[in-house]
Formats: sequence, structure tokens, C-alpha cells
Amino acid sequence: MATTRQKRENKEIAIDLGIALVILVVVSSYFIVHDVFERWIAYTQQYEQWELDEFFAIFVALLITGVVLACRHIFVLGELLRDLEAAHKHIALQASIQTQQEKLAALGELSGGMAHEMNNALQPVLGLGELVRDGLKESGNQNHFEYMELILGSAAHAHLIIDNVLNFTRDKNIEMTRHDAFEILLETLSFSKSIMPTMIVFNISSPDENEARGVFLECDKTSLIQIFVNITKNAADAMDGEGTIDISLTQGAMPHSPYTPAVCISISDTGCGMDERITKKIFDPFFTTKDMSEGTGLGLSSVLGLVKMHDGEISLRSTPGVGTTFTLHFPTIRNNT
Amino acid sequence: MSVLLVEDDRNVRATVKSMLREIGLQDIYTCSNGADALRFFEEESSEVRLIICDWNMPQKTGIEFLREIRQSHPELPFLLITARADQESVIAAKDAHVTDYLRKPFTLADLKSRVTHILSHMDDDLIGVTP
Repeated sequence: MATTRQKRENKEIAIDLGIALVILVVVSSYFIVHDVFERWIAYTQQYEQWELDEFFAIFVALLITGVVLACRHIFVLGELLRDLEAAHKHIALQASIQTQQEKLAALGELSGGMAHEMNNALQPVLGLGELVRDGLKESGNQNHFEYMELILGSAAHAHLIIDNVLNFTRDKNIEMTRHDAFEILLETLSFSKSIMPTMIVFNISSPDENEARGVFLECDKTSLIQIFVNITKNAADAMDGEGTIDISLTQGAMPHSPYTPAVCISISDTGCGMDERITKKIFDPFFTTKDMSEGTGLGLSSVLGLVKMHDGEISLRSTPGVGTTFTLHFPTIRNNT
Repeated sequence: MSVLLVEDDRNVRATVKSMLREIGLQDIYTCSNGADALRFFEEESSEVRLIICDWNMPQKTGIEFLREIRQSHPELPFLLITARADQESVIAAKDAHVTDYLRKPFTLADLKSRVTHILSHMDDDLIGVTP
């Protein structure tokens, strides 16, 4: 930084000297050349006058040089002031970003504890609220039953808000490590299955051991789980929490880079499906077809972000009333080199 | 069939107990922390067929309690109920050989589904009551 500033100062001095020299030479030359003939003739008679003119020429040259240099320095000073102002703004912005990051880190730390307390506090509201609601339904008290539905809906919404804050602030430590491609995919898929409702069946097909050998995937295990949980949860919701999700793992190439080897994961459900209007927006943040208390519209947009983070590609095909198939491709590495 | 419910929050403990009764489990022991639960379990382990336990508790956490239980009872059904929302926690619970995992706040249907699933994988002679 100091070297750059020094170079800049040297350059400025060189420019100043250059300008001064040019003006002095030009102005002096003008006076000298313009009057040289007359002066030569009158030299013998008007020696003192000649001397005065010569000093006058030098004085004018110096004056013009001074004015030009002053103007230039005013211009340069203006530039420096603008640079200084920009630097101040940059420092202020960096400080603001730093403060924001510190606030987010503090919020993340606080929200972990807060989420635990809030979710605990919501348990009696949701757990006992349901029992009360069912009792009111049986007793035929329709008004109170509807009030209880509102209370439960509101509690479910509060739970969703807590989850959103947690997702927003959670420290995402991404750790990209090399894994046997099919082994890690089967492990993360079976983990996703373990946290699905028991009425959802996963039907997974994958290449045999010989075919799958020597294919590796550079990935973050937690992110893969997040991707599969979000897609399969959507599939489960589309099938009203009951049905079969067909998953096939195959080897192939990246759709937009046919020479890059890839693993292809196809996840299909037999749910309600979506029309073209919805499929176009399905990866947009905050787009959801679910009720406010059930979805935030961030699940599939975060899937898209995580897939891209793995240099992968995702596409979907959906037919209303028939079902939806998500297809994911991740680039693979042949042999563990 | 006896269930051991371990939960430090009094309101949640009472709530889950009511929910378990609602799904047909009547014989429910309760403890408010992992240390008490371990002492109770050492004395009454033959009675307990299912443990439902919170994660964050004073003295001994649910995961610490689970790890100690697993040393002597590797197959005993252990349902962890927790307000921890992150997937890293789920992975940690799986690594400690938890049977199943339920995030708070959960509904009666969620609890019934998990308990029914766990009990359907238990030997018939261990089950006194089928929810």
C-alpha cells in the first residue's frame, strides 16, 4: 500500500516538473523568438529595456506555470477527495457487513437456545390442544371446536417461524469430502427414509457392486441428506403421507456436459403432480402450493442451491394426477485418484 | 407394558404422559432427568419395555443416558424426543443407536405412528398393551 502511494507521489512530481518545464520553454521561447530581431537591432541603444523585457518574460512564464500547476492540483485534489470519500464509504460498508455478520452469528447462537425453549413451550399447546379439540368435536361444541382449530393452526405457524429463523441463521459448515458414490447416496437416502412417516415406502434400485465400484463423489453428507429429505418430503406430502417413492440410482453423464461422468438419481412419486405453471416456479424462493402452516416455500429453492454447490443439475417432470419425478445429476470421479 | 418417560420440563412431561395414555399406554413411569432415569432403570429395568426421553436435560442428557443404556440393553426401544431441529443432532442420535427420533412439538398422530412402528418391531411377548 505504502509502495503504491510512493509511486503515485513520484509520478505527480514528475508530471509537475514536466508541465513547468514545457511552459517555461514555450513562453520564454515565444518572447525570445518574437522580439529577437528587434532586440538585436536595439541592443546597443536600449540595453536596460531588453533586460527588463527578458525578466518580464520569465515572470509571465512563471505566473502561467503557477496558475496551470495550481489548476492541475485543484483537479488532482478533487480526485483525491473523491477517492477518500469512496474509501470511507467502503470502510463504512465493510464495518456494516461485519456488524451484520456478528449480529447474525449472535442471533444464530441465541436462536438455537430459543428454538429449544419455544418448541418445548409449544408441545403442550399442540399435544393437549389436539386432545381438547377432539373432545370438543365429540361433544358437538362446533364453535369451541373451531376456536381450538385456530389455536392449533396458530401454534403450528409459530413452530414454522422458529424453524425458518433456525434455517436462516444456522452455521452451515460445508465439508466436501470424497465418498464412494453409491455407498454415500444409499446411506443418505436411507437416512432420509428413517425420518419419513412410516406409511411412506422407499423402493430403491441401484447398480450392482461390480458396476458401482470405483465411482466417487465429492460431496457434503449433511447437504445430501438435506436435498433428499426435502425432495422426499415433498413427494410424501404430494401422496398425502402414504405411498411408494421410487428411487433409481444409475451411472451416466451430466446433461449439459456429456463427457463428464455423473451419477443420476431419479426420485418419483405417484402423488397429485403439478401443472406447468407450478413447475416453472417450483425452485423459486418462497413459492409454495402448501398451506401457510405447512410450507415455507424454501425447501426446493435450498435444494437447488445445494445441488449447484455440488456442481450438479436438477430437473423435474410432472403430470397432474399422475405424479412427479425429480432427476438429479452429480459429477463423479472414476477411480480414487 | 411399561414405558419410562424422561423429560425435565414439567408441562411437557405431563403432556406426553397424557398423549401416551390417549394412545393406550397406561403404565408410565416418569423421571425429570437422565441421572434419575438411570438410577430408576437400574432398579426397574425388567419392567421397562420402551424409553421415551428428552435430549436436553440437566445432570445427564438424553444422549448420555442412551449411551449408558445401550451398553447393557442394545435392543431396548428408545424414542428420543427433542426440540433440537438440526440434522447434525439427528445424525448424532443415530450414531448413538437411537431407535427412533421425534421432533418437538409433535402431534398425537406423530407420537402414535412412531410408538406403533416401534412396538410392531418388538417381540409379541414383550408387549402387554398394543396401542
